[in-house]
Amino acid sequence: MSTPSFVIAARITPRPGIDRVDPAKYFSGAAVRQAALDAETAGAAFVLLDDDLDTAPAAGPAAGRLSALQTAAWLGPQTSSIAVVPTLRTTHTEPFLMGTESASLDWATHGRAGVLFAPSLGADAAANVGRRATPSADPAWAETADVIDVVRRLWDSWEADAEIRDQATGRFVDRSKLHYVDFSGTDSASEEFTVKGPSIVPRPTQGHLPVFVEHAPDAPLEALRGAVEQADVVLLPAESVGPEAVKVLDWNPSACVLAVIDADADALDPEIVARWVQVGVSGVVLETGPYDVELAVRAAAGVVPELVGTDESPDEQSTLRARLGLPPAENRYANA
Amino acid sequence: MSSSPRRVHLAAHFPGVNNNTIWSDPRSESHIAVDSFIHMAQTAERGLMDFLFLAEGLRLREMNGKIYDLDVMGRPDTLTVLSAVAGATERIGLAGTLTATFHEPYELARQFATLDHLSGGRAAWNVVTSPDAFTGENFRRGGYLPYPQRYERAEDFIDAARTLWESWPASAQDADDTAGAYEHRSEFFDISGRFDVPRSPQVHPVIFQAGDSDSGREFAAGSADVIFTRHSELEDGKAFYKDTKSRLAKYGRAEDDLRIYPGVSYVLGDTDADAAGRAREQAYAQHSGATAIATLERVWNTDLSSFDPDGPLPDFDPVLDGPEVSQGRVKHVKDPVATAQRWREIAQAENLSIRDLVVRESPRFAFVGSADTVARKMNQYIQERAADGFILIPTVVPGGLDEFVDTVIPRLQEMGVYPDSYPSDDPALRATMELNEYRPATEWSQARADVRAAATNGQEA
Repeated sequence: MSTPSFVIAARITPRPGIDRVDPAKYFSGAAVRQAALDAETAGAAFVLLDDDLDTAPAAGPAAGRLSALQTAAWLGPQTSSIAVVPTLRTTHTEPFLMGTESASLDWATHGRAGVLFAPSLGADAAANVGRRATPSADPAWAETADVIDVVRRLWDSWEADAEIRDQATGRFVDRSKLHYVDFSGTDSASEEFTVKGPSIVPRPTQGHLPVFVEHAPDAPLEALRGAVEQADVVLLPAESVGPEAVKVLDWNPSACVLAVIDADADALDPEIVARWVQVGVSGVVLETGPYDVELAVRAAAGVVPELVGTDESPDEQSTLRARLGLPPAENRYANA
Repeated sequence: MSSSPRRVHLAAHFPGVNNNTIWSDPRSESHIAVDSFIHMAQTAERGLMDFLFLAEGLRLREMNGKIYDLDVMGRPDTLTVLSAVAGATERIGLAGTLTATFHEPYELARQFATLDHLSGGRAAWNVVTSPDAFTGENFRRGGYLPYPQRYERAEDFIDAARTLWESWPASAQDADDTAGAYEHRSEFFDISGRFDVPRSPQVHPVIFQAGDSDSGREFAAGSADVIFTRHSELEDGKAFYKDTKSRLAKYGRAEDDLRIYPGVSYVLGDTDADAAGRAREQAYAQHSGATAIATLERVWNTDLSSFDPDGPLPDFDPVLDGPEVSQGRVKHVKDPVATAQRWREIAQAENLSIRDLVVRESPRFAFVGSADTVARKMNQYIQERAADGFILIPTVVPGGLDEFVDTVIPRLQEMGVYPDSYPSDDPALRATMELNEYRPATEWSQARADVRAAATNGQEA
């Protein structure tokens, strides 16, 4: 596999206090679809779709949002090369369902999907779901690492060639290629949780979807260490990406580190990008919101033309793993 | 009655994880790939059907302590698939089965509201329950719900979801800082806050209930828009229809407010004789030797792998005191010893092997015949009020619906009982099914409370 060019991606969720959305257009999905298509046209690798179970931040008159994973699935048949990366919150949602939903998203997009895992740290998310108390950051991130672990095991629980359709014996699957995961983890309230498996969904198209984690202001980077070690892609704020990238790559040398930067700022200049690349940063996520995405992506590509390269029409069959330069996913249970 | 004929409604069930689905057919393709779902949805849409219906899986079935390997198995997540299909279709309704036992109202309500928004109002939720520890092993809470409480939680779950769906003002333009504020405190849920999805086109997705039991019918009369039932013979269907619809008035509902859709299989042919021959071939394709043995094992409740499917039935009785050999599937045989006895007698009298007997005793295809015959038989069920519509269950993915749409629907249209276009320009499923607009959550719960109070007073009087 060739070395990937500098990754440019866009976060198209409305930015609180910046993007004013028109509810009639926004909740039909039209604006999100247009943003994804514009990002695709401009050559972005993927779009991020934020989500949480807490009270939505106000964005114009509509302090609302749509479920990100389903929006991503809905975008699948309406796009051709760009990948979609929704957020899944690990604190209240069942780990088994996060495994099946993400695997299904990969099937729905022909391998053009990733998933960003993050805990729900707010009290209002706990009140909305009503099952568990509000967690603090450290145990919630520790649980996130466990969730990533069990989700990866669920993805592995069907070997790629489990479906055999053997007419001679009447067997649809070779059950020796299906695996109980028998996972035991610790939740954010220090209680054990278990998942039996196998998944109900066959192995995802990519084997494993690229797993994203992001360092947000609500927790110190150290709290994320376990999750970072399990991740493929780590998003860091542009303001501190230099020192943080060094730490992240020390914990997980194969991580793809991306800097998250406000698309309206002029912070992206060739010298800064060159310094980022020196410490191992592989690309940027532009905080574009849902509007003017194409312009922002093209502007970023124009800053670093020699890194981005000229290939603006990636193979329509290319998976997100391939676009990020990740190696093929291995299966822990195969040949075991 | 001399009024104009009732129209026939049709819908499509994506083939399920059981031996009704024939994976050995050379035309059978992936039942996981999104293109298979899109193919079947677009075929149903071409046939002006009401909706595509998906079941839900939360654990692979087991037999004799091992994963059951003879049927099609595995399926993608219901709501993820329906969201993708919404992006590739314009009119077809999108009906998803999700259990009220292992999901939570806040999460499910926002997922359905999202689907309803993204599809222009085409969402439907088939509410089921799954209160068993076997499924629970994949969830944090395990098996936690006593079986008698399964409908109580489901009913409360629907009320909570409806409360969330109504929590925004009619127009999101009018939303302010209080939009989405809600509270639902009950025996099963204690949730409050602000719902984050504005009112969707239908406000409430169409609610289905699947199940034929007395409590299931009452649950449907008090909480659902559609009842997904098993197919039965015409007279039994009429009795079911009459009984179920008679339960509606006391909830303040009219006959048309709850629709009865049996799930039906079908086999078509150029002639009735041709179709009968195909039905026999399909029944054998659905019951390989290994499947026939497994079918017997579920009745005998013991390992019969040493038996020859082309040989005679076991001469001993079923095991009644052992653990269940089959896990993750609904039991249909209520009296195994009597069933085994009857099967042995039939096999002996007709000189049948195990496989022949299992094919003979398997559920019959509901409608078998030429396109004209099937159209006439289906129409009879509608006109005589044994059903309001049918959910067609094809046997092959993804093309199993094509022949029906190409041959039977034109016959129904010629008979004047099936439309030539969708009835409304509005893609909402409520418009397609010609259902009323949503009924507010408080009206549903008040009607049920009144019915129960009246029943209690009646008992005391």
